[in-house]
Amino acid sequence: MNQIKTLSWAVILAFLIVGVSCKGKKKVTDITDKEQVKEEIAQAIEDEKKPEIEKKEEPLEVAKSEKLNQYFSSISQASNASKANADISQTLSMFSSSDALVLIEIYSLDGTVDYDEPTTISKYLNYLKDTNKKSDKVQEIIYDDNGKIKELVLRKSF
Amino acid sequence: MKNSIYLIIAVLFFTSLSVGAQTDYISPKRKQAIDSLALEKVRDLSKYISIIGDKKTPFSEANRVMDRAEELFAVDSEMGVSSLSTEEISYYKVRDYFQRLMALSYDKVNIEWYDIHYISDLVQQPDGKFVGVITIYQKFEGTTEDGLSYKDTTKKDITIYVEKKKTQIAGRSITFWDVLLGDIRVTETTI
Repeated sequence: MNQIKTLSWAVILAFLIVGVSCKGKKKVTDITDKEQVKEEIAQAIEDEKKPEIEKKEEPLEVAKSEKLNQYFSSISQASNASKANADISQTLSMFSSSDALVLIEIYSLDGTVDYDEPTTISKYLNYLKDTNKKSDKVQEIIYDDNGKIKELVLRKSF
Repeated sequence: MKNSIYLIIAVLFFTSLSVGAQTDYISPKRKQAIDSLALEKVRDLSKYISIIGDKKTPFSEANRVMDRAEELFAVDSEMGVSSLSTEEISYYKVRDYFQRLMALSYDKVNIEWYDIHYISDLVQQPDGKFVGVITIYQKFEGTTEDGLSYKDTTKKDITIYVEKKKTQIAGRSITFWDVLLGDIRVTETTI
């Protein structure tokens, strides 16, 4: 009888410990969810403010995006290394530095975005030269105060 | 009474299992993107090896490409090298392999990888990492000015590791899929 009592208490205690750790993790999840919701609301407010400004910038954005795509194709299809290197130099002049960040999306759906390993524009352009691959699509361009590209987001084309 | 105790213990056991399972759900389309990413890294390696082995590649370019190629690998990964003249297969650290490739005493070297495909799909492990195996066929041809040549075709298996990682860039935390190649083992050498 005593043994059963002791065992029951041990079981209840174990249950409590597991329950507390679950609750603790759930609390972290709750906080993460709340933070995520706050971020989404903040982003939505930002997005509402942007439309007029974005409309004015759109043609310029498209022009730069197309120019970048043209440079990428030219590098990738260059008949020799010298031509490719010349195109790389020209492309780099659009960027704030050769270490400007390049993020490449490999998957995007319902707010979930997966990236390849972050790289720099210099490494990415040399990658196009080395592999002669079809370039990834320009998704987003982020400029610095001097109008140079400081960050580029591409969409991977497999 | 005893049955009740066993039932409680069983419930506790399964509860602890569900708490322990923290891996993200990966949808089929998302998994397909990860599979494609890993396959692409192997194709990239094949291009780099062609460039490194090509006698026309300037020394500085070959070194730059060796750096890029080495970054594809996990630390201490090795490359298997075989020959038709011996049954022995030698394994070199990848950087050593690239240096040796560049230093081959042929006047012309042509290396081509083809039929690159998974022989063992990327499978998620309990720690969240993916592991799989990709196989490749390699055609090697080395020619001297005197007209002597060596040709072979090798089949090699590459272990692939994919892991979700986080990095800090300009104060921002960015999560990405890190694909790393492991050892490349020779499984077959033919003419």
